[in-house]
Amino acid sequence: MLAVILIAKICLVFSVTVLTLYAIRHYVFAMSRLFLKHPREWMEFTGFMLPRTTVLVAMHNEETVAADVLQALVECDYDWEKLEILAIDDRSSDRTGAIIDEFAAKYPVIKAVHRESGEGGKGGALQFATPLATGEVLLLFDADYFPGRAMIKQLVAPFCDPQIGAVMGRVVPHNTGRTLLTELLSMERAAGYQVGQQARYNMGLTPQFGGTVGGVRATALRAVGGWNPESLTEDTDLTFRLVVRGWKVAYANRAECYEEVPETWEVRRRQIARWATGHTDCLHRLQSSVIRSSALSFFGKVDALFVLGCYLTAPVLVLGWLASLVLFFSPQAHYVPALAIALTFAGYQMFGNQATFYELGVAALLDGAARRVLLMPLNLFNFFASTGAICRALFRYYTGKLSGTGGPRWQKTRRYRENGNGKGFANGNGAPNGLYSQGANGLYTCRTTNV
Amino acid sequence: MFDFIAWRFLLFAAAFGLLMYLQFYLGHRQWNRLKGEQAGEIDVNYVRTENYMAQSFRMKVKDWLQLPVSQDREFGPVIMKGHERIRTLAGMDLADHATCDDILVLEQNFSCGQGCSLTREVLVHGNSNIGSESRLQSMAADGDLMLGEKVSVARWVDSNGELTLSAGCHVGSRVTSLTRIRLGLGVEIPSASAPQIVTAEWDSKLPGEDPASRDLLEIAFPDGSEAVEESLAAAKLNAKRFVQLGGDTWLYKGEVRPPVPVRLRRKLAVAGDCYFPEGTVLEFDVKAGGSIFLGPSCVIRGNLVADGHIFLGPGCRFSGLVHAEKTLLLSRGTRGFRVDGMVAAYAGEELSLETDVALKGKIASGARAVVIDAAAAQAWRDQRRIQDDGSAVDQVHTS
Repeated sequence: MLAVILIAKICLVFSVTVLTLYAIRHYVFAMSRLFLKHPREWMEFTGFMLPRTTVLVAMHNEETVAADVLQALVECDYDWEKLEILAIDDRSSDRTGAIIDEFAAKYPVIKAVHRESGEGGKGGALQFATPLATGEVLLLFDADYFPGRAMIKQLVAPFCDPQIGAVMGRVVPHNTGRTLLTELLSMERAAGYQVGQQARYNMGLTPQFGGTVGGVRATALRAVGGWNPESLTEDTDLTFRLVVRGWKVAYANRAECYEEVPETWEVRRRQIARWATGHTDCLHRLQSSVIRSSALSFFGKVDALFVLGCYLTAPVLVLGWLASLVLFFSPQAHYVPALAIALTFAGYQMFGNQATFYELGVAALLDGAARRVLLMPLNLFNFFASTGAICRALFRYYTGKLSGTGGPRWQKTRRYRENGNGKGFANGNGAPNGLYSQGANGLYTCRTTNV
Repeated sequence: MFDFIAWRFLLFAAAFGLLMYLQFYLGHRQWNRLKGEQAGEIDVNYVRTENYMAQSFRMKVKDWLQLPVSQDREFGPVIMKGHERIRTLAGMDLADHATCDDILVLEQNFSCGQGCSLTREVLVHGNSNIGSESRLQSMAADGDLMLGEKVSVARWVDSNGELTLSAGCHVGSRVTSLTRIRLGLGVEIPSASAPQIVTAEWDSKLPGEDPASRDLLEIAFPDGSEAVEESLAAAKLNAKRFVQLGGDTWLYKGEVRPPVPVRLRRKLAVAGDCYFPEGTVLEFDVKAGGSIFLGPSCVIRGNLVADGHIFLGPGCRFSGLVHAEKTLLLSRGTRGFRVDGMVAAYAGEELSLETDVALKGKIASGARAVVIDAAAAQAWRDQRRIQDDGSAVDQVHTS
């Protein structure tokens, strides 16, 4: 009995320590966004840095959205002499390949790439198409994204710094008001980008390259051995392979792009399970490189490990809860109250995808959407759902590793758009497509109903 | 006693429950209100141009001119837009110290004397001449625009023709021209963009010499050979401190301070400061974790990025982007041009331009861009402990 109590005590102290460190880290990020200056204003160079650029769009059964993203890209404000768009049909069984071929026939700037076999998800498709790219900078968009006309110029501007290996823009959900989940995920995304990514960049740490709405320097990509088709989160994998070698990652908060977030809890569960597995897999593969890297400062290494290990906080939290229960029913129940309060406080910081209580609030304020702060209590549902999904995914990951039944597998995230018609946002004559509508102020913005 | 404890517990539990319920109630109520609303709106069609403020104003004026015109006893024909009065006139000459609180749209030329105050926007389809010490809100001119000494503009100024800001002018926002901007001594602006931006005493000369003809020590990159090591030693660089980031990009972990002018043919990121002597040619991008100081007549063909300060010595030429996280000084005779595009110089803090500086493109600053004289430039260098030639005060010259 004494041994069980001792183990429970150790687990609880460990859990509280880890979660408190994460909570402090996020608190520092939130405060830094509120009170510190915003350095490195690359946006002043938008339109002045015009390298030869290749846009890669990997598509696997994306017939509902393929036309929209391709049309948006050809309408981007960038010299076609310096642009190529590689539209990758990644083993699609629907009309995706045909749509890509139609666009390639219509626009010389688009090149159709058909991948008919091979392993891996997006990483595999990118690895397949990258040797065909001729750009100095490779930009990436997922098929459900909708880049604005200025997006390419905004994303390539930071590459004027020769040490920048990758650039990440900001994603903004366009289906925010559809369900409570999309609303909560929208807040989470805002916190992750507006606060987390920007604060890390401001503080000289590593913002994460997200594999979409971002770009990577071709020489940097080649130097680190290209994409990793084995990884479920090839973007995280690439980010840390770049920084341990000495490259930097930049974050461009004003390069905003719409995306779709999951509308149902099941799709969300699958998405966060993939992220958790991919991140944790990256942690195990890259932790020693991060620790040994001479290119990262001490705090840079600590933060990198915090990022890579962020999904482990869910099982650590559950461990803390279980340890609290054991101690509560033990003769030494007096240990529990103080640690349990600390655990509750710190644990609540950890829900979702690194977006924390403070960061959600600060992001809502910075985005001028202070009314959304009132939604924060409801994020408790997201917190519990994410914690459960992550624990389950990591349990499968570790048991799979132990039993040797194979590594993680790619699962495509479901798309909700049904009326993608490839007419771009203005269709050349101002007529919006199904995704966009023109407001009273004349601006084309995302349509949240009828999507 | 038991009863008291039970009541106290129940009271606490009720209060706790109420608070719990209240936050979920408020959250749920807010969700009902926000349902169907978009969190952040992005104008996907928007492409920012440098003169977007003036362009936006011109578009608005076009719309306003469609509104009904009424006859005012004092002002003649006017257009009322809410409480705002828009006056459309053929031309206008305002006397000294005149004040105008209307939006003005002038079909021909406009001028005003000293100390005038124009509290609303002005659009001039001809040329415009503003008297010294006048105060403006913002002004767009289709022709040339001349601001006299110490004119203060609260927001932006824009012209299709030549735009002159005389000595001591101050502009609160963007300065743009489709032709040329002339900046007098002491001018303070946050940013300027034009095919040609020149400061006072510009000698009208543009870059001439071909830097390829210079006979310089070429920085070699470590390949294990002795010849390269000797070459690096001549440039006071240590081969062991080089790390190859990627094909054409190298990282140097230390300070770069070659004693002789050098030619650099690779992209280089430097962890510390860089001091390049007179006549150095940088063919590719250079980034410094510290500051970059370049002596006179250096040529920069790539981009220059520093987390600290950047100093371009007299007569330097650049044809890329210059980005200093702190301050930036473009010394007398600096030229920034490229044949196939624009250049840009940005400083997170103050951007100082000495007299006789010319560039094609843009200058911008997180604080202010200011035109300074030789004495102020000397003070800038003294503060950062560098000499006129860009070398550190304690540096020994062999060039």
